[in-house]
Amino acid sequence: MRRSGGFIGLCAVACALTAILPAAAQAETEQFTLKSKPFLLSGFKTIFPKIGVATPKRSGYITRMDAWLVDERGRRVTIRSVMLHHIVFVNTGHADGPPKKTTCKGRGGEPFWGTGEEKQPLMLPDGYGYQVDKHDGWTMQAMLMSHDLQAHTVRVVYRVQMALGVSLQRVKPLWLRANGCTTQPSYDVTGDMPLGGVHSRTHLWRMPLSGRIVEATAHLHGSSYGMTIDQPRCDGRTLIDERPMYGLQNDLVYRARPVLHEPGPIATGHYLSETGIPIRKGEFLKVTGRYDGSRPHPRVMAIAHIYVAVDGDAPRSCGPLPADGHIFWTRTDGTLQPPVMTLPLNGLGADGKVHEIDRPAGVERVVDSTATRVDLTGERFVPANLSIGKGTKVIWSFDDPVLHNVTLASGPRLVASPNSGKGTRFVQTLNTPGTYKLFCYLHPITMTQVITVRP
Amino acid sequence: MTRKTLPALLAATLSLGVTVPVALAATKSIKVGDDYFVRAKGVPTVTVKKGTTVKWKFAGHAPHNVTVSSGPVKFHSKTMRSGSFSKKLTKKGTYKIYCTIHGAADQSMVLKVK
Repeated sequence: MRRSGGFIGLCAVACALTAILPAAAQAETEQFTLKSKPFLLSGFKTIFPKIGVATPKRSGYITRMDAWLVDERGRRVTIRSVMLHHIVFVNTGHADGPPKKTTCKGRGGEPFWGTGEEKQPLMLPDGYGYQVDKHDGWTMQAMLMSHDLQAHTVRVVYRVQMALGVSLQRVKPLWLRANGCTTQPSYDVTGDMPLGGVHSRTHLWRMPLSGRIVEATAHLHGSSYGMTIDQPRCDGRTLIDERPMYGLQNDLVYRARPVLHEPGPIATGHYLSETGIPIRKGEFLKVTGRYDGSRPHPRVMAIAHIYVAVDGDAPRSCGPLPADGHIFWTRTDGTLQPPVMTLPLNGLGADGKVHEIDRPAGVERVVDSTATRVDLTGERFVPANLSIGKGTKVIWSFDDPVLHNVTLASGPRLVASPNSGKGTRFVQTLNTPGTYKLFCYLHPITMTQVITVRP
Repeated sequence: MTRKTLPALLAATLSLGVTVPVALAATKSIKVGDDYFVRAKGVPTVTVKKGTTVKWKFAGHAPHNVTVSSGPVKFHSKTMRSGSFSKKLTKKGTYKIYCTIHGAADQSMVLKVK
């Protein structure tokens, strides 16, 4: 089971790569395979490394890029042990070069490629490249999640294909989030819509340059219906419709245990066009993320990555969209319908193994007051089982030296605190009756809580 | 009456016979913390005499285990958040011990049995 799962995962990646990397590389094309430093992930640990990483140390154009995790012996790691939740490479430039900027003000560096569970490679159409200088510095910002009780040491391997000694048409990468330039890249879906309701989040992005969109992809989470990029200047027409593809029921993402979060898409439609969709400096593009609105979904993301070929002569007219624009899928063994998932709670059994649990151990505390306090202390919720009346204010008090959070596994409405340190509080009034199953996603096996809200 | 007291007496004697040598034999307690053995810094070395029973007491908040990576005898405890794990060490040598949850780089110790 374990072996075959790993093999399927490996084949999927290998097959996808075979498809995107041309067999006969041109003379001026060179491929660099680089590695991050090792990361030790203890059981169920989540880490957010933000570190400087090696670059190809060459001046030229990046045309393709992808990344994956390997263990200490260089073998690929599947999500059964550690998942690469997301990864972004940021070009911080160099002292004598132009400053690198992103779409959000006040942030240093230019993110130029990123992906998540959907494993979308960079694959610019022929003739286009992201220009880098051999003196540029790169940082890598990632989220790695252990899915195993045992410790694992992993490295990120990233493969960069460059065109050297030639001049390509330069692209500018733009990161367009449905929730704009907020501190957190994610946002929450409260889940208060009727069945079939679609939660939309929209942001208008002013384009910092004129050019042509030649590649676009998206980072979406589970329960997403996709995201669109519309052009208000041209009657609000839809330029790009990015759809996520979900794994089939037997896909590793749904078979891996324990289930710690709603699995994301296995692929996202990849828009490619050699002609490119013309956009003008100063115009707004409307970016909309769509999620199932009938159930709560904490910390979802809808981030479009678009690559704009720098072209001051890009047409102003709202002519027809390029005929060569098409959607490329790295995988096709899936479905466009987001599966309905109910996250379980997990706990450590007396046998020393992890099991799904109905509720944490301990007597339920029944509270009749209008407010009640929950302590997050000693890597536990105290009380772990709580019964309150409708409309009770719950004050979660963070008392541990390490970060914790309150995250909904299942329940009628969203509960989602930020990662919080000692001395902070998170307050929410629970107005909707039902059973709220909660956990700390940084300590998913030891920190669980069930709150019953009485009608 | 006699049929009842005799086995009870016998059991008491037997249990006495078993517990006395154990009570006399050396025991050594080792703290299992978050995420360390004995103390928070470095890789501690604990030396005991052959025949000592070592008792690892789980005093942290996170789950841990006691696993021999190399040594004359290999053993491992269950993964636990509280309680203790005891092992009588009857073979001389150096045991490298770590917690598989947190990894040898973060949580390990050396046990020397002389």
